[in-house]
Amino acid sequence: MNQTQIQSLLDKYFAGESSLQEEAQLRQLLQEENLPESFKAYQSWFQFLDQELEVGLDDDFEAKIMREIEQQPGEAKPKIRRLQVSWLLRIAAVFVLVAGGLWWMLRSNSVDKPLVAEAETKVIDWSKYEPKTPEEAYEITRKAFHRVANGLNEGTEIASEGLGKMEEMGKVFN
Amino acid sequence: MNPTEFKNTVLPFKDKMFRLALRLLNKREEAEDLVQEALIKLWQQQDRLAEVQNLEAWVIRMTKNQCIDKLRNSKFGLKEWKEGLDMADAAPLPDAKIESSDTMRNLQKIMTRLPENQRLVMQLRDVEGMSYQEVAEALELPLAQVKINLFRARQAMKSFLSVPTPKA
Repeated sequence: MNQTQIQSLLDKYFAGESSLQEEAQLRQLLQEENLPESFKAYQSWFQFLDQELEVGLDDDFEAKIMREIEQQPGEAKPKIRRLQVSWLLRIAAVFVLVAGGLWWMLRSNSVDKPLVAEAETKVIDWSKYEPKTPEEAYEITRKAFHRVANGLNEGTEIASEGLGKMEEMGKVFN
Repeated sequence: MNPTEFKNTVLPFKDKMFRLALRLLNKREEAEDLVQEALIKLWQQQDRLAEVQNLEAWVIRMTKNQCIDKLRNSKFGLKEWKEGLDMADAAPLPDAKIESSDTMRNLQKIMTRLPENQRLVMQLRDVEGMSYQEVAEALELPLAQVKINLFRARQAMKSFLSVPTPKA
């Protein structure tokens, strides 16, 4: 046995300069039976460390944990939150599509003819007025649709802004 | 991650977690409860676990943080911790090295008296056999700090071990 080697490894160990390989070598050397008295205390230290590594949980711990885990839902909350945002976005998207479709349909019907001035429609008392010819009835209906289209235009813009905000909220939640 | 994957990837660290918790809390039951809580918490974070690169470091860090939270926030934990220190203070000093089992008990008590970081570093390096880099990552400490803490802890143990054994 090389006492100088043990001492050298011990010096490195206590100086905090030994590698894992050197520490394993030191443990091995300190297991010798005929160890000088001066090294016995260090032998006890490494025996103590080996004993500490054998400390563990009871055999039934793993089964207990697995039972607990199988009853746990996992990351339920974040999933629910993502689902809520997703539904909101879907509803908003359907609303925008319907509003956009209506607006496009009405606009395409009125593109060929110049729009009637809004002042014209304001002076008519609709509760008393009765159209005299089918052409006039058509014209009145067309003007009414024009007003609805203007209203929908404004609604679409508001919905677009709302959708933008909801998308930002969605990023935050995700 | 399903329960089987969790069992195969995370549960192998349970004893390492337990030894670390025991080193900090000094009570077997407390340490066992803490490991159970930590494992349930890890399971609840299963989506994040799949992205973790060094699972061992992650698991050790979580155990350490939960132990420290328990010690600092719970009155019961503080009481237990103080009891541990009192036990170490009342321990027989180096004379007890006459008996090997007494030596083991004394080594245990001396280790209990080390400052928190020294104890943690010594546990992971000298008991678990982890590299300096692995210890640094698990404890979120700079490498130099790991080496300083280990040096101080080993010096403390050396001064205990170097005291000559009185002859009977």
